[in-house]
Amino acid sequence: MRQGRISGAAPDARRGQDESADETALLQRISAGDRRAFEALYRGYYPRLTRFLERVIRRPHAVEEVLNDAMLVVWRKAASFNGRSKVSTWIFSIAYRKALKAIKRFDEPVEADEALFESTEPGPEGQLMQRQLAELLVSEIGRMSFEHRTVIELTYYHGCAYREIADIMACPVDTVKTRMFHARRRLRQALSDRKEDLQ
Amino acid sequence: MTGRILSFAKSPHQSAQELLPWFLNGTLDADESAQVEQHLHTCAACRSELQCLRELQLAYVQDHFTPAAEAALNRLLPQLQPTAPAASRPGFGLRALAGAGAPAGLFPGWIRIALAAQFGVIFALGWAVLQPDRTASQFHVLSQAGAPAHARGDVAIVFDPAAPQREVERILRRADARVVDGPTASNSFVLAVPDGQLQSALNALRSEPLVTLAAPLETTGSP
Repeated sequence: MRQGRISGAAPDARRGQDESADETALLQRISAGDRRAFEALYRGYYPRLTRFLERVIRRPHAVEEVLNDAMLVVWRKAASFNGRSKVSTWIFSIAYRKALKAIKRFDEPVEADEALFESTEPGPEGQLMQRQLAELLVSEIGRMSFEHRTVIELTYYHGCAYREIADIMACPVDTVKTRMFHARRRLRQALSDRKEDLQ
Repeated sequence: MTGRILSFAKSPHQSAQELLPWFLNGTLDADESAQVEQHLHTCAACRSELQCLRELQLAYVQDHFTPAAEAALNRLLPQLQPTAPAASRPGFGLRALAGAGAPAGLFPGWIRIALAAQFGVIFALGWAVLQPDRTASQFHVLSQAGAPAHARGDVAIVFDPAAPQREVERILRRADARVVDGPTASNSFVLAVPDGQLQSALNALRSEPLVTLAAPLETTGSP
């Protein structure tokens, strides 16, 4: 058993291959105009894309529009999927590009702005319970740049490998690692500050 | 001479530290994972960091929900057009709303928009007509605590709070089940399964370690 894995957090290799083969078959049917296949793929991806987009664009009212724009591209471009990546990587890369476009429309800075990380608001008094920790995380991650939020979300929630994240974001793997490293440092600092506040 | 090659490459500590989040989510390849494990045996700082990351991840994955896709999907479906012809037609933008199968050059733009609007109205009316069927049956959910009163479903399910979204989705796909409601106040979800497959779906769900509870719902009328 590999250390460091949260129980059930990552599918084993065989399961991942089966899942990928199923999704590739769905894409093939979609490229032939099979709406049932599209609906199945849509239902499969809707929860995770919703979560991803909510966290990275932080505009609840825009999530469905961006998601449907991305899935419309999947419908239209299914035939262009070349199998060099996993289906999930391909779909997330489309969603990422749509999210990036939306973020620019909202006039939000895309790349890291260190000043955005500096403030941490003091929270309410009380015990730092798991729920509060989750809320603090969401709040802190919300202050990060679009790119940092994306790396955090894809790693911690969606269980992506750093190479997958690099493919999705179309950037070098070292950039992914660096973004994660800075994001972790900020989160650690925020948690440390909060614990001091509560003592 | 020590034979040591000086370079600007990262130290083992730095490399391991960078990889810890992906060591934690189990996505490193075998060599990388072995390197990190080896380093963890000798580095208290990285072990402490790993524990901190584990707490962060646990808190982060707990904050999730599984929304139902149907409403958003039904808003998208009218926009789908046949894929092969659409790819060869310039000018069919993402939001083109012409009727499915109608050649782009056959109608002027305003007629295509009118057809699309008509299609949208027909779809909305059809959807409204179908609604009573979706809400006809009632059921009990986990002692009725917070149970939705009008959704149609076959199974009540509770997942391990630490279950990642992708695992939840895999479990649902394996059981051929769809979320039709939830989460309820008791953190349960309501699933629909194909007719005649209730028992096989329950067996599949109950075999999953991340499923805390999977129980059939009563669908035989009012309480």
